[in-house]
Amino acid sequence: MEPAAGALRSGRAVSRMPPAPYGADTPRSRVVSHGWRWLLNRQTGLIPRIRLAAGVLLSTVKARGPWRALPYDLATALFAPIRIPGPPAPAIAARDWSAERAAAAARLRRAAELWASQRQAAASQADERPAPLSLAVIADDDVSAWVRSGSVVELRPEDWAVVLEHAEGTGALPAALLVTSTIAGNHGAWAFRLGPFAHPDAFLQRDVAALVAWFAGRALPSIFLVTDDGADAVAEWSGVARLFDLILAPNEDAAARFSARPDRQGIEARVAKLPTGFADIRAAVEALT
Amino acid sequence: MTGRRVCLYSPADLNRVIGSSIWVQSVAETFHAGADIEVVLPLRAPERNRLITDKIRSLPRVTLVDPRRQRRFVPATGLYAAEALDLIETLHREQPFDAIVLRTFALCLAAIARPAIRDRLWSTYILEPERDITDPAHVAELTAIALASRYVVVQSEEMRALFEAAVPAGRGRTIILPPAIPPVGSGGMPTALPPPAKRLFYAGKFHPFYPVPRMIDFLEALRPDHPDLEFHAIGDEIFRPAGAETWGDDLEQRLRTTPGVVWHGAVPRDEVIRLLSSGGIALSLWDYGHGSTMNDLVVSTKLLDYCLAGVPVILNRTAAQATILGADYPLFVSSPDEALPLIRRLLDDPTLYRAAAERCRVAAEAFTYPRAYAGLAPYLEERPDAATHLAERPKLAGSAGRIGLVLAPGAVRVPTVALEAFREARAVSDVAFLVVGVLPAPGARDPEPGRDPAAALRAALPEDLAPFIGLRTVVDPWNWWRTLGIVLAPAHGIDDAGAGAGDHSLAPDPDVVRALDLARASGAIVVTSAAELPAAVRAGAGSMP
Repeated sequence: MEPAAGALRSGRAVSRMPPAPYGADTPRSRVVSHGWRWLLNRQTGLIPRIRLAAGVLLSTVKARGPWRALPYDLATALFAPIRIPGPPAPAIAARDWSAERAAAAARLRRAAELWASQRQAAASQADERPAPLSLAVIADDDVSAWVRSGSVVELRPEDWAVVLEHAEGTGALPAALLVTSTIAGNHGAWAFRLGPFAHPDAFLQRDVAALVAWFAGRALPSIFLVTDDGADAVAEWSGVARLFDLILAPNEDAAARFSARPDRQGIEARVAKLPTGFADIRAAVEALT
Repeated sequence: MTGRRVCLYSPADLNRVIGSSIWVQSVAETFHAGADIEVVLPLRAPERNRLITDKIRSLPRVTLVDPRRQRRFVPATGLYAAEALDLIETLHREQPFDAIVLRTFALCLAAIARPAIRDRLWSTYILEPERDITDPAHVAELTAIALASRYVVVQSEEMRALFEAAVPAGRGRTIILPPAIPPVGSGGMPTALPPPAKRLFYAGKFHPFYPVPRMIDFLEALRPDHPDLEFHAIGDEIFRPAGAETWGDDLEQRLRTTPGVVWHGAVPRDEVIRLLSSGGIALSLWDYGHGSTMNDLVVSTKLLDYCLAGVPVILNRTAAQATILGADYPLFVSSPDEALPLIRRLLDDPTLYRAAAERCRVAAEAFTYPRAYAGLAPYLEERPDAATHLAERPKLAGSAGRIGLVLAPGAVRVPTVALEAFREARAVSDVAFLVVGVLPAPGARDPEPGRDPAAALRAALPEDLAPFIGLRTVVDPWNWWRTLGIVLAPAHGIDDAGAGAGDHSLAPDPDVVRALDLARASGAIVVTSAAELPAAVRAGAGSMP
């Protein structure tokens, strides 16, 4: 059925709803408005009550019964208190992540100071180069490029805790966790656990959240490097990136959108040109101080 | 198949034309699409209008049950949950149901305490955006519902993934029932796409989550250039949020008085689709400031109605909506403000209008009543292959290059033959990745992150292959198969070291056989001889990422 001709007439506000209680703000219009609202009130108004009674009558007639219940039903419709559902459950209160953000900032500051002091100490001894940075890495197949610039601990979902605890025991604990916006991750080991997949391993980010928490528990920072500058990069990666202390984004707009996520647990995202090695990561972290 | 009786109940008031009552109509019609299915639908509230119930009543195998059967004085707001469950139990005693489909978390939680209901309970849409799924107490309640239910019903693959991630007890018993629509062209609806028209549409409730005031702003911004543009708003439920008491009144005033706005009030669903079929641009925009991001996983009934009518839809890019319309659908936005330039483009570009409308219409065809019923039929009709249907899940992009090998519980090493075959596969495709899945021992708990017992197998892996082999305990085979393109079966030439230390029997473990049946059902290529693996990888290499 086509809508009424008047309803589609262009250029006019046409409505099938009851007349508006609005108009010039005069005492009379206020009285009219007030009266109209009272008539329509779902708990006390006359019009809803009449509608209810008519509905009871109509449904009883159409269903041909139960006739004996009709007087009671009409009385209920006209006089029984109406149970208006209470207000809907309040929305989940937004969690305050400021403590996590402050802790992330502290971890990054501490790492920056430590790395800067190591570099200065090395510079003061002209014959010695600074010790190469050691990072735990989850990256695409370019992980070999990271290997050339420092010491890399490649992590796997099945045994990262065991590997890191062994490294801790031998005094070779990585200085930070670096995860890139990788679909597969370390030759395929992290596939379907990080990216935007409709898969239980990807939802709730159980593995990567535990990994970030492991580093945070040892006051070591975690860094998420966004290598993807596509239009949907923020939508696809902000879910996992929100967990990290620092996000390195490809441009200002992406950085702002990563930072704006209400459940962001790290400091504001920073813009960084695509790092070619750990020196760039180190520089980005040291720049925070 | 003998006739099946289904009880369908949702605490939605069918006197109100809102999404949840449209959903009831949609599900009743979905079940009715099955031959010989009888649906009994108790009403929550006495009928006061027939905008929705008339359509349901026209279905010959659907029976509406007046709530006054349970309680003589039913207030206008209807039965409480306990009263509704009493009524369902009464109906079940009179003539037993094969499935009792209940919607909402609170109702399902109350239902699992009733032995007569729980063994045939289909707990539907119990993941609610307003509830915190990271709250352990809530997860415990969801777990209780999952364990007591015959099936847990969700509305999209994305929602199933989330539910199975949050509630492991739901794995292997979570099925999908999306909202559905009539087949294109049924009920006298035109099959041709409507022509472009200068109309904007919104159908649904008026809640701050749906930024209708912003849509009216768009109309006002566009009217100088398009004086005959109209905004058609359909629905009469105006939410009046606490803390913003004037929001509802202000919106109501704008709906009534803004030039170009046509407010239709509440109309039946069929008429909504007919209105949309006159052509225009539909708006399905969300404001996340007033709702949970879990809505990203929801299949919106109004989106399907828009698509059925064949009008282009401007909508938020979400996981579920990108699955429905395709990631490259041109009218996705990430915030409501991005809609205005898209409306301008659609008004000026009939080619874009046509292309988007066609995409929407094609997407709608996957959600028709017969298609939705076909997805449920194995479970409702209790077919022997229902378990394998649970494994029929869409493969994930990137799964083609991944090879799975299933080992029995307690496996001590990866079979040498399998490793040699994988080495040859790597020579064929350098993206090939082997995932060795060890089935868990009965009663074993899920591994902690980073401490999977299957990792013990790494010690015996050859160095050259080790980086390309993943090891995991397969606690969730239904979803594991989705990540694999090829599965290597431990028989006929692949020694079954998984059977236990020192046991090189060629007879596969029964658990492994069952797992492989699921793998086949999931559409994975199952290779039963190591020699076949390189060829299978070569055949699949074209589709590898």
